[in-house]
Amino acid sequence: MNDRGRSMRELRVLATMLGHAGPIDAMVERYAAVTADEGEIERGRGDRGLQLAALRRGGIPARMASVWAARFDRHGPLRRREALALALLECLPESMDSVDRCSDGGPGAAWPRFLWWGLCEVLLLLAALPVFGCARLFGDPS
Amino acid sequence: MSGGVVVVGSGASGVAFAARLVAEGRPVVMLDVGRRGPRPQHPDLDLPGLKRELADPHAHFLGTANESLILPVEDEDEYYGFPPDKQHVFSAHDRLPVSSRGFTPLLSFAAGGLAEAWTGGSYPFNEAELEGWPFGLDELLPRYGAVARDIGISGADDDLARFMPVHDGLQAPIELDRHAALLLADYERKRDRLARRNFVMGRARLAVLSEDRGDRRACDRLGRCLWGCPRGSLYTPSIGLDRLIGRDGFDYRPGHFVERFVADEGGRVRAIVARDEGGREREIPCDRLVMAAGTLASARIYLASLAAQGLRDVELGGLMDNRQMLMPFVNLKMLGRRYEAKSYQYHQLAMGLDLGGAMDYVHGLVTTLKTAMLHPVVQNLPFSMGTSTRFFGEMHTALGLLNVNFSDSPRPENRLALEEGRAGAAPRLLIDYRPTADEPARLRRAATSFRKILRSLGALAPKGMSHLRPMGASVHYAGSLPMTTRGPEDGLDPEGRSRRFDNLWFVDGSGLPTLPAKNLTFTLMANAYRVAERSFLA
Repeated sequence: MNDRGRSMRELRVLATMLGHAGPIDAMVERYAAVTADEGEIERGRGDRGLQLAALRRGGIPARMASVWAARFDRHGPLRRREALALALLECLPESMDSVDRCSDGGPGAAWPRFLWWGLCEVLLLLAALPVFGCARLFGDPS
Repeated sequence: MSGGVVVVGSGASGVAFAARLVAEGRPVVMLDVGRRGPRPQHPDLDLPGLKRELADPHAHFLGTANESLILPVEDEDEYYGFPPDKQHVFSAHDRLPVSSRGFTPLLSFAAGGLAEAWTGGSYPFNEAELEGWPFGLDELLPRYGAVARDIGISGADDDLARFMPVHDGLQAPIELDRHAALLLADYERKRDRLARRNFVMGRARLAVLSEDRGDRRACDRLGRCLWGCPRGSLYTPSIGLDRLIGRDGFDYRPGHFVERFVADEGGRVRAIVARDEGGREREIPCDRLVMAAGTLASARIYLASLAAQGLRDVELGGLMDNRQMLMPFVNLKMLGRRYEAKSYQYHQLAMGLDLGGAMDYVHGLVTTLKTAMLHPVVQNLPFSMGTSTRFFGEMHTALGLLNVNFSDSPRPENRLALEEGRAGAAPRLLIDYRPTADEPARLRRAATSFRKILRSLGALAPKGMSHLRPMGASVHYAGSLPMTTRGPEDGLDPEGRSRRFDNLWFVDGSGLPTLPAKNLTFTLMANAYRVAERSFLA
């Protein structure tokens, strides 16, 4: 996959994870430019390569990688790509319907959602621990 | 040019000083680097509308070179950057290299200076806070009113009057959003109980118009404050400067970086040495020099001038700044509520907490910043980015940010000095700052009190989320050449005049003898009026 294709793929997965369903074409150049500046993945951090591989795969692996990065690699390349994607999405006119969306159900509706998200986060972390933990300890299996 | 009054710098105090003189028909020359930012686009659109209309929204919000993009970085002290439209305010100048310890300095070479990026807080100092100053509130209060009438300040005579004197010229306060209105309603119900804790709350006093004023229009809550008010509702010194440019007697000269002044043997400043945009050195004669370049830049000019006279070892002690603590909180009654895009983005409410004595008064400003960029904030939440974003969406309307200001007092070890550069290189400004030993206990005490008070107002402030900003981040610098009745040679008399040079005045923060826990800009403007009236118009 070439750089643009890889950026497109990563950005599409990130946009989906962040709740954006619209077009992302306008952001790809910027995303590719910033991630190209990031340089090579640091050696000796096998989980970082795996995090990015999981991101390109999308779906549950990408979410597992995101949960892992939030706990154990907060300043790593995946986390930086996520923040970048969020920043790019926030600039779009439709951001109020996606990343900036606020619900209107009041506190009664908010608390069950918090509990559900918290439960999902814990389950994903439990699944991510052995996979990314091994990669961190023993190298990059990807 | 044949001398006259020369003002260096176009910040809030310089513009106020010049405006006062020009209003009385006195000529003024203003020397300034004078960088300008972009003009606001689509000034009548709110934020969602602006996003729709902009040809390149990414360049507008993140910058053409992504200069406002904040990505996760280890050991980062600040977690919010400046928006692209404000980059010109803080961009460095190669003629003013700075080296600092314990201090994160910000300097401005913009037309309008540092207050181009202020949030408009206009809180007068009270009598107790002026203890140790060589003049009392009676000299400042009428000037607070005069400044308010000239630039437009909104606010109310409410409980905050306990800590902030009420002056004339106030416009009605700006409209509260639902979040702020709920907090204030809760406070009003519990006022007596909170008063026993020495706590008060009230409407923010802001240099923001609630009524139209000439070509400036009242705040229409477009939600674009962070990128610069497109309607001119929020006063910035460049608005005052633009009003002065073209008036008889006002000669504005941008593109001048002032290196030093030249004095004769009798202790009188006779000229200013400045570099123009081409780097050429010029000597500009002056009869009276008024420094308004900002505390740090003015100190550098002063020290460089002394060094040129052979006084190379002079240091200026007593540098001060307001330590600031950011305390995010959640108003539980607002959880999951509908988002109001139309709201004023900075401080709608202000709080005062008396911990025992004038200088232990702590001032909090409640900000909502609903339309700020989320990505720097969301990346600090302890969840995956997707969950953090959804979580933030649910909490967004309920979130508030309490910006707590702490006072500072002068200590000789907090000093400014100049280090000569290598041949041809500009001298380096050295800044040393150490907080007092009791600072951690003082901050903890205030944080605990505010946390309890917020809880009684139905809001939670998680302990781990509070953020202590680095010293220097508030940009309320003061105290390097304090005004005193009797004091050191490198200081000022009560009229703001240098003790070393007869015809040199300072109207910026340099002259403040102490620094109460409030934004100093309003006081600098009032003091600039005072100096103009007492020393130049009397």
